[in-house]
Amino acid sequence: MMAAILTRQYRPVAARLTEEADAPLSVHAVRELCDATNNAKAYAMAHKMRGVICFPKWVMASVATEERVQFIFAPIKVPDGYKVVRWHIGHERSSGTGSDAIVLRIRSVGRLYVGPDAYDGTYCGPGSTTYSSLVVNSDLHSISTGALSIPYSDDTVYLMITAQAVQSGTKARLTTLDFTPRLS
Amino acid sequence: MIVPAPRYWQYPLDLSKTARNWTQDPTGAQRRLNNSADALRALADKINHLASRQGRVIFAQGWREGLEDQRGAAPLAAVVFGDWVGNAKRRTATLLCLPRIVAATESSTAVLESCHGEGTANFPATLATTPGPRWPEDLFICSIRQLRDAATGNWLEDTLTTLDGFTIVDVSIQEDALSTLDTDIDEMARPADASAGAEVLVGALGDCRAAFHGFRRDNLGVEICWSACGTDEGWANETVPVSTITVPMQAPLGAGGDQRGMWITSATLVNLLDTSVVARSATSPGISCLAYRAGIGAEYLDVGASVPLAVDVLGYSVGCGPATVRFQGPDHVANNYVDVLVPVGTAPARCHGTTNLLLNANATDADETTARNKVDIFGRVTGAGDDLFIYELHGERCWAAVA
Repeated sequence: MMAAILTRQYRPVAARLTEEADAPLSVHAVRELCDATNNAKAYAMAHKMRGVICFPKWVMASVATEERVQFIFAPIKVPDGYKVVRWHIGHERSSGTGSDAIVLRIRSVGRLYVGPDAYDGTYCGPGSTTYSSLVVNSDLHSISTGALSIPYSDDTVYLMITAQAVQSGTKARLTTLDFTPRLS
Repeated sequence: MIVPAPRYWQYPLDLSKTARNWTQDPTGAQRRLNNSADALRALADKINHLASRQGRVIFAQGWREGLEDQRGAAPLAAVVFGDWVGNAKRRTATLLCLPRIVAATESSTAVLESCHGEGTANFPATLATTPGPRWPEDLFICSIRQLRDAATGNWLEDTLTTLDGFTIVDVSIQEDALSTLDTDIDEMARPADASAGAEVLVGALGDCRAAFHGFRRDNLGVEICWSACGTDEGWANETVPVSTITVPMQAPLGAGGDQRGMWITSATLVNLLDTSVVARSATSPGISCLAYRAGIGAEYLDVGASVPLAVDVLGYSVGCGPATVRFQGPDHVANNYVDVLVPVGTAPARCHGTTNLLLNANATDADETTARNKVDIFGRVTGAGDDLFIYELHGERCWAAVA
């Protein structure tokens, strides 16, 4: 029995298994190649969809405690089948003391957001709007990671980042942003 | 012409019903089986899906600072990538822009230029009233499409340039998916070789094997990209008199650099993203490059646990000797860093790493230890008073040896 395997990384099918053109094809050779294609779709060829080196550092701030739109990304075509985006964001708090915090939200919306600076969900278009969030409450460098659901199947993905200070005046600085699609 | 079949696109391919060694018949006897033609056809479909739909994002950049003026930046950005992917016949640059107030004699044009030709995007309307463009309410998207013939098999350096009127907030350049595969020119497997009733012989798998191996070797992602924002006179540095600079330059580079370039003066290694950081740690600023199970070979062996990453830098140094840019990766292997030497000069030069950095195929996406797949980039000059200017950073997975 051969189940679908994703996590067995690429091991090229031995040439000897495909050399004699008129010999019966072995189950072993088919299994090897099937494993490799599954792995390629899940990991090896799931290319990074966005990587941003935020140099100079990007400062994220909100007015009072409103949620403000901070950055909007150019749309990206995500290949068929990927349902989530694994994100990594490097950050530090640049303004605030004690336990002051600012919440950053990575949002996947239905179309290009062309609304007011203060985030308004009615400008996000039809379809599902999802978000994933992180809290910046330390002056030290840190890298947070999480998963964001995206529209299913072959589609254009619109990502944006918003910030909302829990305590007025709190700001965060970003150093890196990385988004990679995953099947689940 | 082949249209990649939609089945198997969205799920892992499971051949447990069509490729198996043994079965038990109703009498309890064990009978030897083999592959059905359907197994081979499904494999070919899956391979063609990978061949046609897994376009890479070869460049992406956002400019949070300096939005006020990008007029006539030549280049606005340098785009470097490995031009190996045979089926990447089209690329699309998607620009997220704000309009600008331009004079009647000016145009609003962005140009993507490469050895494969030149593509342009024009935005005919201008915003003639005050106040000027409002972010994000006035954002719009425009695209530049670029066609090419065969892959050159080399590292390419494209440039993105603006003429009079764009303010580009964000750009991504992606290889387009193909809706059909041309049997004469595209890299593909041939599902017709495994039709129902046909003999399932070794030769039929040979094509699939060769095709998949080709994609797996060539279609490797870009992990690190950053470009400085050029000026109307090319790349900036601290020696350019302010009086000769129009836009977007307003002043020489500040300490550490700004969006026009990174500027390092330290004789000891400092992190390019925060010069107060001097060593890699699990949380230090660095680029996350997910490589879980993206290696080649058994992952319990050293060779299978590592994914090579080729790196390069565009820059130059001023002073008594070459400066160093160090790319440092996960610590699953000792001394996992590549030093790129940036020579003394008067103009930026492309400098390649002479070895590959190694990503960790055993580190999961959520790993938060020092073995995580994160690349920190450090820089240093040779002696006190020297300068290092960096205009572009690039890292891309590679098959084996660097170019």
